Amino acid sequence: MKQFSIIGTLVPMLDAKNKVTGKAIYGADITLPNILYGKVLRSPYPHARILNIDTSRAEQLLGVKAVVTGADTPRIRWGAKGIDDEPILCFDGKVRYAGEEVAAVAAIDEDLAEEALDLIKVDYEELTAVFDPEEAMQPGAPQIHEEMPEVKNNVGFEVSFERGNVEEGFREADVIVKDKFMNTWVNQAYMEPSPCIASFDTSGKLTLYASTMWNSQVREAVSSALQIPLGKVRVIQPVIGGAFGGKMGGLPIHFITTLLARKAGRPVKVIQTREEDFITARHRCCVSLEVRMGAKKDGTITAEYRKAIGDQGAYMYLGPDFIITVGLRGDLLYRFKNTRYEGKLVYTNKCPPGAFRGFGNTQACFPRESLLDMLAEKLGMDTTELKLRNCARPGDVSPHGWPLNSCGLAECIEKTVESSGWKEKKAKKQPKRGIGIASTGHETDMRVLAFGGSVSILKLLEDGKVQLLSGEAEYGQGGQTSSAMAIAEELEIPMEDIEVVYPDTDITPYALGPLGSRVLSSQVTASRLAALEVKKQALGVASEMLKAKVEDLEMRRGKIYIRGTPERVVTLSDVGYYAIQRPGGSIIIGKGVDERNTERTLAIDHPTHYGPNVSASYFDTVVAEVEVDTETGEIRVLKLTVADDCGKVINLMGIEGQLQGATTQGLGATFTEQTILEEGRVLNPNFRNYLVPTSINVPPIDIIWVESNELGFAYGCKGGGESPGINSVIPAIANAIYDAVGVRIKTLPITPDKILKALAEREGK
Amino acid sequence: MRDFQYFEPVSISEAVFLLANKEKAKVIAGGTDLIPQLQSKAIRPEYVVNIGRIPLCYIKSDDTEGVKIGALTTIRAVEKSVELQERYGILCEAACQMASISVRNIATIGGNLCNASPGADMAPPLIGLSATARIVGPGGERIVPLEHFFSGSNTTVLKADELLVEIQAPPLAPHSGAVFLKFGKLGAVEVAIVSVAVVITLESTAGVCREAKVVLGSAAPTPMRALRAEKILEGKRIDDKVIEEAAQAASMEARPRTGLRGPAQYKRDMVKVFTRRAVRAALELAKRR
Amino acid sequence: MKQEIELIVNGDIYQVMVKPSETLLEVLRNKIGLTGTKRGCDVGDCGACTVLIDGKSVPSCLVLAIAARGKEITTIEGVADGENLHPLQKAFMKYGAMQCGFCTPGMILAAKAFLDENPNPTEQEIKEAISGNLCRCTGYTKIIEAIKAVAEGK
Repeated sequence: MKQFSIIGTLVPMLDAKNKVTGKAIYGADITLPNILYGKVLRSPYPHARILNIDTSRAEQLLGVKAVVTGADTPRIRWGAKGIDDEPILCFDGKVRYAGEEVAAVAAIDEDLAEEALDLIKVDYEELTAVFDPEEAMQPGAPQIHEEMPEVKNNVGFEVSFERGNVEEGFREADVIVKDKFMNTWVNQAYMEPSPCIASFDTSGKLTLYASTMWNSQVREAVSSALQIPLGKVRVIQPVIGGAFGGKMGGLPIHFITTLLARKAGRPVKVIQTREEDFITARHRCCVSLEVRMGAKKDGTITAEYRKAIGDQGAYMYLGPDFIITVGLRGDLLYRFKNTRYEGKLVYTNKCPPGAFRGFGNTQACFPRESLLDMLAEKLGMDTTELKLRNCARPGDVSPHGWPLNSCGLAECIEKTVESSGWKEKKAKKQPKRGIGIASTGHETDMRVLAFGGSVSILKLLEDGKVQLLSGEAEYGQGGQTSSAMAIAEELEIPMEDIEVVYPDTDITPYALGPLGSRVLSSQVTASRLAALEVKKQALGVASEMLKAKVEDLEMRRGKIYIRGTPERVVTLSDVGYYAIQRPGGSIIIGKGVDERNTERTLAIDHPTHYGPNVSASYFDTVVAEVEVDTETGEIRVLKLTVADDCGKVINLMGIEGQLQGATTQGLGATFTEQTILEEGRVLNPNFRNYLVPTSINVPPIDIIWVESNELGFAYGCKGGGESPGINSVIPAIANAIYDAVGVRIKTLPITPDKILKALAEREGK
Repeated sequence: MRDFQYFEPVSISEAVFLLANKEKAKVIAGGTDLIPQLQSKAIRPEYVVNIGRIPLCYIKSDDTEGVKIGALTTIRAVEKSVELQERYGILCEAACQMASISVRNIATIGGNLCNASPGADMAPPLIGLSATARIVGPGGERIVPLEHFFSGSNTTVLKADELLVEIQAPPLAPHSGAVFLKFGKLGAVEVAIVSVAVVITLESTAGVCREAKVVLGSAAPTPMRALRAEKILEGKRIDDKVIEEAAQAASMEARPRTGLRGPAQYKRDMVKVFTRRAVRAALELAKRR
Repeated sequence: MKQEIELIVNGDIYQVMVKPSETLLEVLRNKIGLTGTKRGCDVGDCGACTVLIDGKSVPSCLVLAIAARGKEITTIEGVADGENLHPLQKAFMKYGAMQCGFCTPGMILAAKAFLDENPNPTEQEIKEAISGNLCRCTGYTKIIEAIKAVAEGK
């Protein structure tokens, strides 16, 4: 394996200095001349008709410059994945969830804007609401989208696929287990409340400063929903304070801020309050998942059946892709010959869910890995043995046609088992202590369009420094830093000489967005290619300057010289300057495109969802050790041992941090995080009652990197750092609790009162 | 938030005068309870009286008089007070588990009591210490035992024109042990599921329990004494059986409600667990004093 | 009703017109233009708005600007000594103690106030000291490492 000078080392983030000095500019920090402040009026009712909106008193308030309602929109519904069912500002006269946007105000200060909201009079006719997906599917339930005749009994989307023959598979089985699991509504709870600034210039061009992971899509969404020509929309991404999927693409805040700016004729800034973010963030979808597995006595799994019902809230948004992903990603890890999946999304009167780190994998992983544990017990086998017997191996193709070139899953299992002392701990079981294991597979990129790659453009400037233009978002996950590392590796220049421009649709290329875990590998691959192209062009220019053949030149540490005569040398700065200044010259610009396997993408059989629509997959395993306080039901996590097959570590500091962060989020999702609703209204839209982990809640985490070297991507890297924490931690802990005290919790979060109740029930038996 | 007229009195009498003459005026000290309420528009007062400049930040203690704590003493000052750590460690124990250091740097002991949350951290230990509240109004001063200070969830006996100025607690008798336990989901940064303060006074190091106070927080609309639990402990040589009985009694006396922190039955069960643990710990401390 | 007050921030004196209802956080960001202090929740639950007042860490969203007159306020912009970063700032960079960076200003100030008072803390004490500063990205591990390194004089 080639030795790298910077790849794989610990490198601080490029904008670290800005962040520690308070100089990093986030959306809320930006201001423009003549700016106004916007506030949104939200429906208190989960299901209602809007009979009338009277905005006259608000408009008359001194200092209010614009009030908008649905009447100010071109009445075009939008949707992120082909089902355009969502109006803007309830222009169809109907409210579908408590907190939905009904009107908005722009005024000269925030307090005035808030006061103006109080002056808007909305006449609602309350309708019966439905909150539970099972109830919503019953005939006679209130219909959320009666205007869509294709929607029957609130079922907005359905998918099913089968590989092999599941009936036969179950017949072959010696042992069958089945159960039902459910996750809960967790909020991304990024530290930065969502901001947006919209400003039109005199030519009608809109500039949006949007805290978004996907500025290309925001541009398309705003253009389409508000009928602004695409070329007249510019979306700039400032520094973002965390996203985790919640700031993905076009969202109501972008549409509303734009409408206000257009009507007021002045720039408008909308910053959501923390409460608004808790109520309206497109959170993790609650999926009730029934899973059944059968296996032979020797542990070979012969069949798997899964039925998922997702609570999609009021609008489809990212739903269809999500519920398909639950099916596809869930089957990445094991050699299921026979598997059947049925997924349904049901409309209810709640805020729609969206993307949250893990996207479908969390919902698939908790049931699957818990059930595997149950299956192992029934078979009289150790769970790790069952996993190793059935796990995917390098060169496999998943049941749904995903090719696995590299696959370090078995190594992840073996290494965590060894490192955690699994065998010894199982042999010498201590009271109230338990150990559990779980794994996840996550794909790197989701080829949902023909172009699934990334484009990086690298400019060599006159002073020898380079500037990277990439449309891939940076939201703290470190993609820019890793890309800069690839450039530093190939050009042998210091990190300080690399500048990465923040995404701006006027300047940076189109980007697909953070689907799957594609950003790191795709962006790094494209950036590496761009660097190689710059190197090639630089050598060409240097050969002119040195009057030598390109083959005779060497490039080392920012200098190019004739091999054998190191005194005949030019620097990258000389080359950069010359390239621009020479007669007929032009700046050295390298374009790198990460694009592979287009033919394979097109080969996907969409109706059956079979086909290689990912390029690579990465795997992980987590072993959790817990101690149960049987008096209070509290669980203390003693240690987490995590193995992450990321292909190749690019930035060790970055990926470590990502994994530690994701694991902490996973702990929150396991134990304490839950948005609690009553009659469709969020009861805990604040950090006092929505509990995210603090510094005193993090257990020791041992990390093992498995570098299985995915050849398709630069340096062999895949995605990494996301999945184990968010996904595997949850069932690993659930399995450890079962090992400790014999109770299995099947609905998240695993709260102390649930543990006590389960213990009491167990004793009662 | 909605704007208001703002006053900064520098004396108790000035503050009381303002409260008596400005209708529905709200007092602000640390701001940790009032400002969130103003932000959420739960209240929209026309007048806000900042008492922060009145010299009510002090901790005075001695062996005969007990301790006097000015109402504006910050929770952080209570936490860090060497004096209190020596004589009334239970107060430091309660203070250090509240919110975060930054909040404790501005939150005041008076504010915590006057906000009267059912889970007010300082209330159970102070009630356990038989603390009293010194209140000043236009008519003069009155002293109210802290256990009678709370009249309902987020309500106290303070009249609109009165100010809480000081909290006093008598000296702890010899052979006393005082323990505060707080049970919360994430550690103590947020509001407790339940909290328990227990003060046990023995006749002698190995003797019978002369006096017991068992005070529950977050187990009823106000902090409450578990009187039956106390009676079970008093007059007995406390052993495991007695502790169990007292813990059971406390859990039956508690009046928790199902809410964001869990089902009522679970809270009731936790009252039992933590009363048991607190009594045991208080007993050990009492034996050593 | 607005009135003019004087605020001392990072050693500089600012004359600003404020309404009594404006919090120190709002005034720092919107009137004085020091946007390094962040608004995370506006009700004192998250720590993103932490500043120092007379050396003590406080949530600036819970302080009325008008009540902060005459006190020495330190924001993240005042932590470095000109071009010389504070050891905490250097350590945060070196140990990768931030990702999105939104909690970082508040975190650094909380850590600074803590270390100024407790120069030799245990790891547990460090964890408790920053338990009022929420971070959603890092999982705290590298933050604790960075603070520990500064305490140990690395």
